[in-house]
Parts: sequence; C-alpha cells; structure tokens
Amino acid sequence: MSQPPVRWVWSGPGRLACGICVAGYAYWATGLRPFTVSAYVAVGIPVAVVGCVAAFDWHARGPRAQGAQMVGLRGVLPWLLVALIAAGLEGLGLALGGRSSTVPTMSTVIDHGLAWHAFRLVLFCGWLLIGSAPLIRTLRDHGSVS
Amino acid sequence: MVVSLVWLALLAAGLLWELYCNLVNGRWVSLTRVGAVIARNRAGRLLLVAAWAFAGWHLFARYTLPR
Repeated sequence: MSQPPVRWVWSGPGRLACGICVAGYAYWATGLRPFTVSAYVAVGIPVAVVGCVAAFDWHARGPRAQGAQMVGLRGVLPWLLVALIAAGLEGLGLALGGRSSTVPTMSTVIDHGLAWHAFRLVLFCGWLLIGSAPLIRTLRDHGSVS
Repeated sequence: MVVSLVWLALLAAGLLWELYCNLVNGRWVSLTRVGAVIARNRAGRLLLVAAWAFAGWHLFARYTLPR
C-alpha cells in the first residue's frame, strides 16, 4: 500500500524535494524587480497559503502550543527594551525624512544588503521558514495521526 | 554609520537572545513562546500572519536599492 501524501512529505526524499522546491521558488522570487506585479504575487502566494492555514486549520495542537501559558511582563523585558530602542531609532530616522545617512531607518540599512541577490535569497528562505512554521506543525500533526 | 552599526547590533542581539532563551529554559521568554501564546486563538494567528506578510512585502516586493 502506498504512503499517505502527508507521511511522504515527512520522509527523507520528501523533505529533500520540498527543500529543493522552496529554494527554487525563493531564487525565482528574489530575482524579480521590486514594485512589479510579479514581485507582489511571489510574496502573496506563500502569504495566501499560510493565511488559509492560520484561518482554517492551524489549531494549537502541538505540545509547545498546548503548553503555551501566559507570559509575565518580567520575562519579556529584554524584548521590550530591544523594541523600545528600535522604535526610537526608527521614529528618529523617519522624522529626519527616512533616507538620512546619519540616522538611517532599519529599512535603509537592510536595503544595502538587499542589493545582493544571495542576501535576498537567504532572507527570503528565513522569512518562508518563519511563516511556514504553522504549516509544518499542521502537516506534522496530521502525519502523526495513525 | 554609527546608527547603522547600532541597527546591526540590535539585530544580532535579538537573534542571540532568541537562541539563548530557546536553549536555556529559564526565567526569560523567547519570541517563539510569545508567538505560541498569541497564536492560541484565531485573531492572534491572523495578526501574526499579517505581521509576517507586512515584513515580506516590505522586504521583498517594495525594497529600494541604494544609489
């Protein structure tokens, strides 16, 4: 009897095939010119897939999600500090016009890296990885059902 | 130049702190755990997807190459 599709995705060759497809898609997507319809579509496709999973099928069933309890303010203080510094710098940069060389915004700093296709590719793969976490969790949950 | 370095330092510190919080299960909370708490209901999940979509749009469809 053949393997169910979800099980196949979690097999060794399945993971390799998924990795190659994702890398190919990322290479294509990051080679597109910005502000074009194709660039918006290339970003929109994964957003649509993950959005559907989030809206309809992404139940918090994994052990990590089930064990997710409310977090105290003290535990997230370092993150609040980082967010506060970032918001201050971003606000200052935007107040100076957004393209200031003295106080650049985060976008301006990242734009220097985005000039390289390899950097865009790595960043896009990281972005896909973060966003696809719920999709992977859903597949894993379905796959583990015997 | 200085502020650019501050931005890079902030990004690096964030990444390292996330790694530390995931490796050491102590009093500090990782962003992954904050995300898991937010994702417990549908509105929270959609909020996370919206934030992720905004980052993708801004970074990969609307970037401006420096002259």
